[in-house]
Amino acid sequence: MTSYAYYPGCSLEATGKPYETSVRATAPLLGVDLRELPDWNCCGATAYMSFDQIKAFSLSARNLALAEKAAAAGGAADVAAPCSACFCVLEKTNHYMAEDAKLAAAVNDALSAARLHYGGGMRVRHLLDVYINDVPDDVYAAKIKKNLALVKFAPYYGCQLVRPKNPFDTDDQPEKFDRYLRRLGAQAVYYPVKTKCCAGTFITTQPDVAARMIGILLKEAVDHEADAIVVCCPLCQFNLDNFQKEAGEYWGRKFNIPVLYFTQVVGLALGLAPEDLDLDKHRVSPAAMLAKIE
Amino acid sequence: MADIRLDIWRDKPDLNFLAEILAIPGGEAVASCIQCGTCSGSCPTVRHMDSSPREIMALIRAGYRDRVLNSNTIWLCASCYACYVRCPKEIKITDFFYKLKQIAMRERRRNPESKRARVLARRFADVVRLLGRSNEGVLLAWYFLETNLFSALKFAGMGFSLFKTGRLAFLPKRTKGAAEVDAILKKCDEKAAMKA
Repeated sequence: MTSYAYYPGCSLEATGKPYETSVRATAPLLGVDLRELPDWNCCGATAYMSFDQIKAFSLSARNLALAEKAAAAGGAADVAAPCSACFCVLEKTNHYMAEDAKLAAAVNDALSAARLHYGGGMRVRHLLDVYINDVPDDVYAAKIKKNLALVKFAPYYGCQLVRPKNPFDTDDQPEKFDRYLRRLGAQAVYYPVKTKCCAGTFITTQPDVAARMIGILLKEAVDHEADAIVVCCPLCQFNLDNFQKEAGEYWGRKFNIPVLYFTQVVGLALGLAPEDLDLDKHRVSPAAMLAKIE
Repeated sequence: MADIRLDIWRDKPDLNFLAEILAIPGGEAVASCIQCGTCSGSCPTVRHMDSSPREIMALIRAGYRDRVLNSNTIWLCASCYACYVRCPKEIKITDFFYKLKQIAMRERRRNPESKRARVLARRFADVVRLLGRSNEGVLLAWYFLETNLFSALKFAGMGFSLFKTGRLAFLPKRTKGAAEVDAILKKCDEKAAMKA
């Protein structure tokens, strides 16, 4: 069993609760040992970057420093984050500090106020990467109980999983998420907008701009005959699930397509009940899609 | 998109602006821009911008300080990093726009179109300072009080459905390390004050 310093992030405590529930339900079954990083703080998110960059990096680095301290005491060497926005900022902090000695010194100077130091020893991983690359095939082969062969998914990677830099897949037309859904026994449809932006926080600051962007993502999934969109980020899920009416009004269409976390799809394949994966807590009901599972 | 050629003769260029931008870390990027427009072509929000990302680069070099810092362009960057990974000159455009946002915010530029983005960034920082983490319920309540109560009504129905399913928490959890976080942020403030 491989262990990871688990960094859930703020969203998974609130709007992304179904994500957290399904992570907690599936990880142990796959032999993924998630140990929540004690006392984690804000990742330094996108919104903070516009406010003050050095503060954002310092906030982010506190988490990495805590994880590194735990690793020195025998803890995990990898930080695993299920939220793409958290993953992006933590990973960015990690590689910017490694590439820029001046930045690393400034951040460590700030961290010294809390008697912390980050030496660059952690690896930051997205949880999807862990599920795809660290869980061996035979585990899936042994644990998959349900047949998803009739279900068509649109794999939505979003921006911050594959950009600005990731060791996981290419940034423009990645394929690994597609292949993973097939490995779980489901179908993955061609989804040309798989790495287009979901509008992120624009849903609060620029709702009209967001409605247009969300509509494009929904439209392409529906036009390619997907039963559901699968995501790996709580912001993407929130936007795509909750604003189908607004997006439909913008494009003059009616949308009603469920938006699932990949961990929920894993849970379904492993034979868990939809309620145990919080699938009853989404805005758009996945009932029609669930009926196709045998 | 406004036609910049029409009023370029009316604006007075600030010849120090380019030097100012070149002096910030990462600012030297603007010098290597070849105006190919890959950034603008990759940008998912370019159609809503006063000036495209490519134009912003050109305006900086021409010294149009107010036009750049008052533009809605920088606030319409969603941090999707599409331009960043495609730029043939490897300019970290997203990071560069973060810097421009910071200058605009420091100078309290009052662009009504960008007000909401500014408020969100600032309040997000406040919530994190207070709690060590963000709290979506608290953040949104604060944000709507300050920007537009009417638009909050549009969100009320959704808020209720989130609340019903246990997906909206108004009772904030404070990180135990919030004091530590505060100490780190204070140190950043001190250093910034020393530099200024």
